[in-house]
Amino acid sequence: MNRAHYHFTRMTLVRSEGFDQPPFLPIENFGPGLNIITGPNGIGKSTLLRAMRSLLHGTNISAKMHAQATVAQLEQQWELSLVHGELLQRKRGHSESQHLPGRNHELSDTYFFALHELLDQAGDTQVFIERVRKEMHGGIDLAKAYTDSKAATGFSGANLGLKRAVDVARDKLRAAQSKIDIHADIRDHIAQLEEHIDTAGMLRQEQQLYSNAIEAVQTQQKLTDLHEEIVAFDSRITHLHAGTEAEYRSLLDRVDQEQREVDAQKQRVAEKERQIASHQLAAELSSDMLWRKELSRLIAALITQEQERKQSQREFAEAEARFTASSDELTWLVTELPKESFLQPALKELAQLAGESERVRLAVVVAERLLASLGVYDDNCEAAYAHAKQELDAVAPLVSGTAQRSGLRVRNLIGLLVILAGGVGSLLWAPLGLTVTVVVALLLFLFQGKKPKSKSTSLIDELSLREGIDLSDTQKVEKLYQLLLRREADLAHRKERNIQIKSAEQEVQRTQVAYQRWRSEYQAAAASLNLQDHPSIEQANFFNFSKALLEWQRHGEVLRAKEACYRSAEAQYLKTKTALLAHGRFTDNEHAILLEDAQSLLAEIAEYERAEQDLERLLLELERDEKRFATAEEAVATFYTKLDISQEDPKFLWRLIADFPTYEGLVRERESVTVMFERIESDAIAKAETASLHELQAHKRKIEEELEEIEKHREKLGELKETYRGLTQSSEIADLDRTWRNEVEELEEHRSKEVTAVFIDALFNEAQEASQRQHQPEVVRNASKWFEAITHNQYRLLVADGSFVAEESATNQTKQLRELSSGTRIQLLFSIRMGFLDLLEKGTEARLPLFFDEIMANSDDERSLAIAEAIKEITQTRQVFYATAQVDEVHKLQSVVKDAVVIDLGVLAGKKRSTTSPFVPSTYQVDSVPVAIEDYDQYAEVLSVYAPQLFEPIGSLHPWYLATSSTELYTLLNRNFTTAGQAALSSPLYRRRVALLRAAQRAMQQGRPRILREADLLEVPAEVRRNTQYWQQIVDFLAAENRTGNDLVAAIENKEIQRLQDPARAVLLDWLQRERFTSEGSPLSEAEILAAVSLSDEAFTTDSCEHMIVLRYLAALGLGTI
Amino acid sequence: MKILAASDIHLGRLPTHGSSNDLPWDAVVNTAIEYEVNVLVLAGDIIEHERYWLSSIGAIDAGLAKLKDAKIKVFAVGGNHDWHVLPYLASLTEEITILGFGGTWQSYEYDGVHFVGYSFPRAHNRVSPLASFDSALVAEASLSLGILHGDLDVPSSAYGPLQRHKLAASGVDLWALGHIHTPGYFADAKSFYCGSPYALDPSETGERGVYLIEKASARAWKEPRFLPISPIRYETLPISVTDLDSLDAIGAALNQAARERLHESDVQSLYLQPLFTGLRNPMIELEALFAGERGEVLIASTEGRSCYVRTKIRNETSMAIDLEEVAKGSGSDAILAKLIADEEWLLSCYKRVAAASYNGPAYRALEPRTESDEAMLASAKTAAMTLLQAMVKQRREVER
Repeated sequence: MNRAHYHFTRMTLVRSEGFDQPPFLPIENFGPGLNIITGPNGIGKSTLLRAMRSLLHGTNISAKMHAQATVAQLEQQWELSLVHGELLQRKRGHSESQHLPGRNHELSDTYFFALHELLDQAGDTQVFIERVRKEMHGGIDLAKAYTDSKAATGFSGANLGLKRAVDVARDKLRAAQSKIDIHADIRDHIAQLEEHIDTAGMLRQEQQLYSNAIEAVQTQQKLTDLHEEIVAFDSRITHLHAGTEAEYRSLLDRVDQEQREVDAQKQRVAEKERQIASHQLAAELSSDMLWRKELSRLIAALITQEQERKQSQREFAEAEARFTASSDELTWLVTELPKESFLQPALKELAQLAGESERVRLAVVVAERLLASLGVYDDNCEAAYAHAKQELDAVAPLVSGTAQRSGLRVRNLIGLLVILAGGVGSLLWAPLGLTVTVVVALLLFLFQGKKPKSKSTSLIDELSLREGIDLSDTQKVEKLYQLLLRREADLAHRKERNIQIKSAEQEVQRTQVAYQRWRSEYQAAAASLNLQDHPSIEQANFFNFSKALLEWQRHGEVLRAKEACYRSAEAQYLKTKTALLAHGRFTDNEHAILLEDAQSLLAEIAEYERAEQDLERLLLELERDEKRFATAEEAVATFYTKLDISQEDPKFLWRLIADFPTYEGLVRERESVTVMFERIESDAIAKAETASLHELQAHKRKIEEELEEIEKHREKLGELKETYRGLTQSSEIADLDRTWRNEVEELEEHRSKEVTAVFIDALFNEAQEASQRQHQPEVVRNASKWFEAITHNQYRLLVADGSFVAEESATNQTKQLRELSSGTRIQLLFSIRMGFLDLLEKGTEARLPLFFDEIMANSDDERSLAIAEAIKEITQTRQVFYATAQVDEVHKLQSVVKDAVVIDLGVLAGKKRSTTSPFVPSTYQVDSVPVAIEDYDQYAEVLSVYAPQLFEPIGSLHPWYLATSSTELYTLLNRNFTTAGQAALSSPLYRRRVALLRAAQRAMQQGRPRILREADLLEVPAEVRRNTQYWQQIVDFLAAENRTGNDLVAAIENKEIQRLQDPARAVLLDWLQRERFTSEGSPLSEAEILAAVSLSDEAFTTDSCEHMIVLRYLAALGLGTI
Repeated sequence: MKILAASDIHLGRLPTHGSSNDLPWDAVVNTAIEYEVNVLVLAGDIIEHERYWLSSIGAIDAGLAKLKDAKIKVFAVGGNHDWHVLPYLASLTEEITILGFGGTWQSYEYDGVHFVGYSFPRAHNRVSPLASFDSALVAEASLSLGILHGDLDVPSSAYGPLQRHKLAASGVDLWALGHIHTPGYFADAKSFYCGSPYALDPSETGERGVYLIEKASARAWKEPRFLPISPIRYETLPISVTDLDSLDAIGAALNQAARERLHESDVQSLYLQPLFTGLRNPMIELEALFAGERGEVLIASTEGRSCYVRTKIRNETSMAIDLEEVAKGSGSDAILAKLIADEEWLLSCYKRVAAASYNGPAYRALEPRTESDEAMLASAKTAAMTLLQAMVKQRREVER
């Protein structure tokens, strides 16, 4: 084994993608030659090879890969480790990192032969091709040099922007130039026009002369013509004037009008005469003035009396109605109406009785109430009193005089009270009360005047015995005496009340008698008025009743008066009517007709008289009209005479009148033309005499045409001057010229650069051709040797048209990669890799291990054996690893390479499992799901449901977040669904709910980045180096609580984190964004999140269970409430 | 007698950095009045083109009126630009006298001086005007001044080729020439180019103005005195990039040099085109200096004067690459280094490409520009070095 031989002696795959734990035991039995890594698919063969390559070359490093290995080189040991994407290579016994020789990133793939990569035609071949090219040019990448030197193969085309800009600028300049060219002789043109325009003054003078000459000729001719026309009229037309026609017409009109007046007046006279003739009776009566006056008076009287008659009749009817109404009102009070003559005294009596009513009834009531207040009469009172008196009298001697005086005072007081009561009673019951009072008072005084008589001993003894008193005891006797005094006073009082009761009973009797008497009188009086026997008609009601009776009586009186008045008016009317009938000899006595006949007669008489007066007036007017008519006819005759025309020939006159305006116009025109002619200048007249009118007009026309031309030139001159001014002041062409020059200059500059670029291209091609001619790439030679060996000299390897090709040795025919069979292609690519290996390791001391991954799978036996042979040769100088799951490949290799070491990863994995997880008999316990309770939140507590995290996968949530009731959740848990994700697999319902929660989570994550902790940094890609100042600053920065990726980005931008440059900076920012540690935009509100969820699911309505589930999830995350 | 001589005003053409095309003419008129000259001579190309006469005539009329008021006589000849229009204008006014209309020689004595002149008969005139010059025109003159438009020392020129010796032997005491915009006095040819009064575009570097001619004696002129009147000046600003290792350092050097140049200058607007020379670090891209900029960049401004640097740079640097050493290698870079060393092949290749460019559809409308072989070879080498630089860069990166 030479000193360049580097080989693995130990390899431990701690962790990798797909393997969280070491998949198999550390491998310690590597051979220095061929090592066949075998085992079933998925056991980790390719992973093992990739880890070994990463450890060697530092390529394809995964952050999740964790591996360690020992590589030996003679006595030297290299410790290789890969942790969190960091590759550490160091010699054993050395602490500092040191790269393995030959570590080459660019061509590290050379050491790896994977079947799937080799089968890919493009594969990594391009890398090698480039390398070959570079090698062919002495180690210089000509393509890169070409690019760096900004060479170009040719010049720009017509679409070059700068060229187009030049064209545009040139076109604009030319357009402006053309504009200028048009006006090249503008100054001459202006001068010519001005010269021409200057002749206008002279032409105008000439034009005027000719105009005047023409006018002179024309005026003279006009005068001649007018004279001839005027003399052609009748000479008498000269007598006419402008007002002749009007005057004549006025005279004729006057005659006609006067004639019409006379005729009309005659008609009016005749009419009036006819009218007078029709009033024969009126003619007779009109002369008797007295008769006419009487007729008028009777008519007036009749009219007045008729009115009075109707008025009295109306009032009579009204009085009758009022009387009837009043009578009707009394029908409920009286059985029949009383006689009016009896009414007044009866009413007076009844009123008097009604006035006593209250007093009588009140006396009865007061007496009855006094009697009731005195109580029941005591029949034993008299006897008891007498006995008490006796006892008192008997005891009195035994006691002192003080007691006796006391007894007198009491009696006196009682007596006074009785008298007082008697006084009051006398006020109420008059004589009876007074009498009783006096009697009682006398009795009291009499009784008071008596002195107690001595009692017998027996009575005293009886009393002593009854009361149990020892009469020898003075005090007790005194006491007894006082007792007897009180008894005697009490009995005296009772006796007094008996007297009052008697008196009261008598008063009751007396008042009742008085009331009955009043009643009888009242009923008698009411009966006299025929009043209804109605209990309420008493006292106050009577007064109303009596008013009604009086009103009724008054209505009766009015009725009678109105009737009398009416009868009188009726009589007067009839009398007048009779008189009128007789005076006018009218036949119809009906009031209206009679009146109309009488009035008509009067009117007819009046009309007759007026007609007589009118006729007289009309006759006078007729006479006056006839005179006026004669005057008018006379004026017409005078008119004819004045004009020297016979009145018999009015037609001639009318003809003259018709001709007169023409005649007059001609005369005036002649005057006007004469004036005009006189005004014409003499030179014009002289000119007129030299030429005919036609000649003059032709000449004038010519002058006018010339003037018109000048006017046009004047306009043109104005335009030209304006144009000239614009052109002389414009900088347009200068600007365009400069723009064009600038564009040309830029294009020229661009051309110059392109000349340089194309020239470089020419140099490049020259140098490249010369280089290719001079250099034969060693790599191709080496590769070809390998290719020839493993194809048994069937093929050679060449580079043609920038790619590797196989050339058949027998025919010299070349085949592209795509034209080769997969086996041959693998052989060719294998050869290229080997050719490069020679190149790579040329001049170095390193022979690094090679890795093959099932490259014989697509080869037939012959080719497989050829490859195996090649591998055998390789193992002479280096360690080789061949990974395969195919047992026949293992056998083929073993048949060729006798000392091959077979490492069965399946066996190692089994051993690993048996050592790390030896079989231990175990008992198990089935946990039962807690019984559902109705309160869903309480059930969560029982189940120890955990709160969700914003960036936690929805599938890992507790199923509690998917269900809506404890029963439903219990069912899920009983089915062993411990997460929402598991539950979602069980039914579309939960899948939908999980999707909704995911949508809510995504919306909520917007603007709410993940909290970034130091531990998360383990996943940061290796491009962000750990052993740097910025890394330590990042770690320190994250030591603070709740820092997000956004905070970190801000710190980087604020230079708080320093020296973090691209590409590490870009890689870190990309990782932060990918892992959602950074987030753009503002956080969404609850409503916005719900809206976002709604967009993802049309059935997500506010009244759905799903809506409640999402709200509950958001609330659990601390957003909103539920 | 004092005479002011001017030419190549090109009225009608807007200067690249001017707001009005009348300014140069107005400046000439005002200078003539200021210096109280007796005569103003105009040696052709007063107007850019006949298409511009209308837009120029206002300014010409006004200027001639002012000169007339100042009693200054004006003599002029037509140049290749205004051969037709200038005489035409003269026919419209009496304030200017055109000499030699239609390609003839004409003499005009004024105040004891014979003014002789020749106007272009057409835009292109390959015949030397001096071929028809007759010395008898000035034989009797005590003092003469020739006014002529033409191309000095370019025998094949289409614009009136002039021979130096013929001018000297013409018998004319002094020639005021037009056509070349760069002013200059040639004592051996007894002549001077008036030059353009104003710098019309960035290619017109250096001072621009008019000449004042005064009598030294009754039979001799003093040497013409140049009067710079252009407020705009274009200049090249050479910057050596040797030892400048970064773009920032080059930018700083450029800035410093521009400020110094402004300080030394007295024109209103100074436009500087950077010309980078010296050995350049192959890793530095000079084009990046003004990346994204166009036209010019204002560098400094003081007392109403401003200094601009044009973004179009001239790169005449040579890279720190030892061609001989590179040529010793065996790679493509070595082959290229050998090609660069073959200047004849390089020039012919470049000429071929440059000529082909005008046949391309994008550039067919351009008028082919003639460049000297030296200039083209320099461009070819610069381009070739660009490619070589890209190769060497790769190799050096590999070596690092």
